[in-house]
Amino acid sequence: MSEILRIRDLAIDFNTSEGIVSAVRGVDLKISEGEVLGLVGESGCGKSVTSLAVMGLLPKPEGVLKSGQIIFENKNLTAFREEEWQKIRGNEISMIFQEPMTALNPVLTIGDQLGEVLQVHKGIRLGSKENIDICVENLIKVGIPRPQQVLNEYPHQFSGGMRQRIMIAMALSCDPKLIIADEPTTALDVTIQAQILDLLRELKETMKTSILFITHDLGVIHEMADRVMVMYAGKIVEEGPTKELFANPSHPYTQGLMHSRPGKVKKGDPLYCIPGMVPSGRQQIIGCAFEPRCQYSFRPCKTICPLLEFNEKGHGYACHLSKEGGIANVGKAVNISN
Amino acid sequence: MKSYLIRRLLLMIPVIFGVSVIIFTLISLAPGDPFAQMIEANPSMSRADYENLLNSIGYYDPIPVKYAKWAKQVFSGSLGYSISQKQPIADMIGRRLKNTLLLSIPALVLSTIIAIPLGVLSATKQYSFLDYILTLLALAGISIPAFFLALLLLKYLAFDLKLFPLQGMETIAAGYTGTRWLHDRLHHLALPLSILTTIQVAGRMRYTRSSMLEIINQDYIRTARAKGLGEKSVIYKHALRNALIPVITVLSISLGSLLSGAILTENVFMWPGMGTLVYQAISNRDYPLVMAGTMLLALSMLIANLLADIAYAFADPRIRYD
Ligand SMILES: Nc1ncnc2c1ncn2[C@@H]1O[C@H](COP(=O)(O)OP(=O)(O)O)[C@@H](O)[C@H]1O
Ligand SMILES: [Mg+2]
Repeated sequence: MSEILRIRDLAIDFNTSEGIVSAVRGVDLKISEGEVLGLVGESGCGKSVTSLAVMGLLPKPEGVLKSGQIIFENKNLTAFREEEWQKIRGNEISMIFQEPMTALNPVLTIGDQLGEVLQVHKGIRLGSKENIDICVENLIKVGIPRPQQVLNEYPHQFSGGMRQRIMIAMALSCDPKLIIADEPTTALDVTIQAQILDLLRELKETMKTSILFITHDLGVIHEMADRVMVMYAGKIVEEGPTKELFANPSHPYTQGLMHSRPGKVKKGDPLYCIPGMVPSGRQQIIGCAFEPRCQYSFRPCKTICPLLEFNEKGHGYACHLSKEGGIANVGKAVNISN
Repeated sequence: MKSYLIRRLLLMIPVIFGVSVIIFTLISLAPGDPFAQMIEANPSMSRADYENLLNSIGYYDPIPVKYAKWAKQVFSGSLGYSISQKQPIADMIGRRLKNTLLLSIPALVLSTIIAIPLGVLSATKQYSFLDYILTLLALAGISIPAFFLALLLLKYLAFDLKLFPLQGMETIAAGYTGTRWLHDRLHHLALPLSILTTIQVAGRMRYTRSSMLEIINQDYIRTARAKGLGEKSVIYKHALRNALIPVITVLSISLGSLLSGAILTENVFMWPGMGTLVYQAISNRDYPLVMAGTMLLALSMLIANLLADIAYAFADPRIRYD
C-alpha cells in the first residue's frame, strides 16, 4: 500500500503568557492508503495539536512549528503558503471535530454549510441543483432522514449525534484522501457514540479513505484502527498493528492504559488508574516522560530519553526495559501489582 | 410572532402610565414654578397678580388633580398647552422633532457605517499598529465629553478660522433657496453632526471589535477554516454574521436615543431640536412641555426595545417568539 501521509520529527510549541509549552515533542507517523491509524493517549498529550498541524490550523500566533515535516502525497505541507493549504483543507484532507454542538455555524443553514465546501473546491455553485443533489446524497450516506428539508434547517434544530453526522457528511463532500477524526464520539452519549462508530466503520469499508482516528478510548481504537500509536506527553511511546499491540502491550504506559479500562476489572474491584499526572508541557523533559509515574523506573530513565525500537512484526515501543529483555518481566510485574 | 407583538404592544400601556405618574410626581415636587423667571425679569409685577397666575394654571392643586387635568389635555390631542410659549405642545414638538431627527438620523447612519468596518478591522488585526491606533482614538472618543469636543471645534473651526457657522441650523433671514439653501443647511449641520457621529463611532466600534473577537475564537470558525474557505469568507460570511447579532440589538436600542442622544450637542450649537426645547422647558418649569418631552423619550425607548427584540429574531435563527 502506498503511503499517503508521513510526519517526520514534528515538534510544536505554544508561546503563552506563562512561558513556552511544548505540546508535541518529536512525532513520527505514517498512514497508508485506506488505512485507519488510531492515535491514543490521555487528554493533553498533544493529539489535537498534531492533527491541527496536519490541517495547517495551529492557533496563530501562539502555535509554532518548531521542527518537522508533514508530507502528504509527496507534497511538503510545512512549506505551504496559506492559499495552498486552502486547496488541501476540506478537499483532500478533511476533519471531524470533537464538539458537534459548537462546530456548526448557528446562523447558516445546513445546506449552506454543506454546499459551500463543494463551491470552494469543485466550483459547484451554492444553491444549484447539482450542489443540492450532492449534499442530499451525502446526508443519505451518513444516515440523516428527510435530507431535503434538513438542508433548509439550522444546526440548533438537531441533536449532538445528528450534528456529528452532518459534520461527517461535510467531511466526505469532496471525497478526501485523508479524514482526521479528532475524538469524534467523545462528546456524545454512549448509544449515540456506538451509532457514530458504526457509521464511521461502514464508511471505512465502503470509501477506502485513510483515517487518522484520534481518541483516548482504547475500546474505540480496538474496533476502528488497523494500526495504533500511543502518545504520551507529545511523543509516541508505542506503535504497532492493532491486534499485535493489544495482545502484547509493551510500554508501561500502554499497559497502564489497558489496565485502566473499566471492562478489565472484576465486579466490586476498584478501577485501576495510573498514579500521578501527565507532565505539563511547561517543564523541560530530559529522560523518559513517563518515568515519574512508572513503577519500573530505573537508572537511565531519568536522564536518557528512550527511542522507539521495532520488532519484526512492526511493533515497537520506547522504553529502556526493552534492552533488559523486560517485556515478559514487565508483564508479570503488572499482574502481581494489580 | 404576531401574538407576541400584540402582547408586547399592550404591555406598553401600563408601562407608559407608570412612567408618566413617576415623572409627573417628580416634576411637581421640584422647587420653583413656571413664573419665577417672569417675576425676576419684571419686578413691577405684583404679588397678587403672580398668585393669580399660579392659581389660573392650577399650580396649588393636589398632584393627583393636576395629573388628571394633564392627562385630559393629552387625550384631547394637543398633548397639553405650554405655559411659557402659550401654544399647543403638539405643534411645537412636531417641528422640533423634525430638526432633531435631521441631526440624529444621519449621525446614527454615518457612525454605524464607519464603526462596523473599523471594528472588524481592529478585531481581525488584533494587536497590530492599526488596532492600537483605533483603540486609542476610541478611548479618546469615549472619554472626552461631547460638549467639550463641541466647544473646541466651535472655538477653532467656527470662531477662529470661521470655517463653519457658530450656531443654529440655517442663516436666519437670508432667504436662501435651492442649492444655496441646501449648502447653508449642510454648512450648519457639519459641526454638530461630526460631534454626534464621533462619540457614537467610538463606542460602536469597540463593541463590534469585542463581539468579533469573541466569535473568531468559536469552534465553527475553525470548522470554516478546516473546509478550506478563504480568510475573506471566514471573516465576512461566518464570523461577521454572528458578530453582528449583538451589534444589531444595540443599534436597535440606540434608536431610542435618537431624540435624547443629542441634548448636549443641540444645546452647545443652539440647534432648535427636542434637546434644546426640553432643556428650556426644564429651566422654565414648564411642566406640560417637560412631560410631553419626557413621555416622548420614554415611548421611543420602549419602541426601540421592541424593535431590538424583533431584529434579534430576524438576525438569529435560534430565537423564535411565540
Ligand atoms: N492554544 C493553545 N495555547 C497554549 N497551549 C495549548 C494550546 N492548545 C493546546 N495547548 C497545549 O498543548 C497540549 C496538548 O493539547 P492537545 O493536543 O489539545 O491535547 P489532546 O491530546 O487532549 O488533544 C496541552 O498541554 C495544552 O495545554
Ligand atoms: Mg484533543
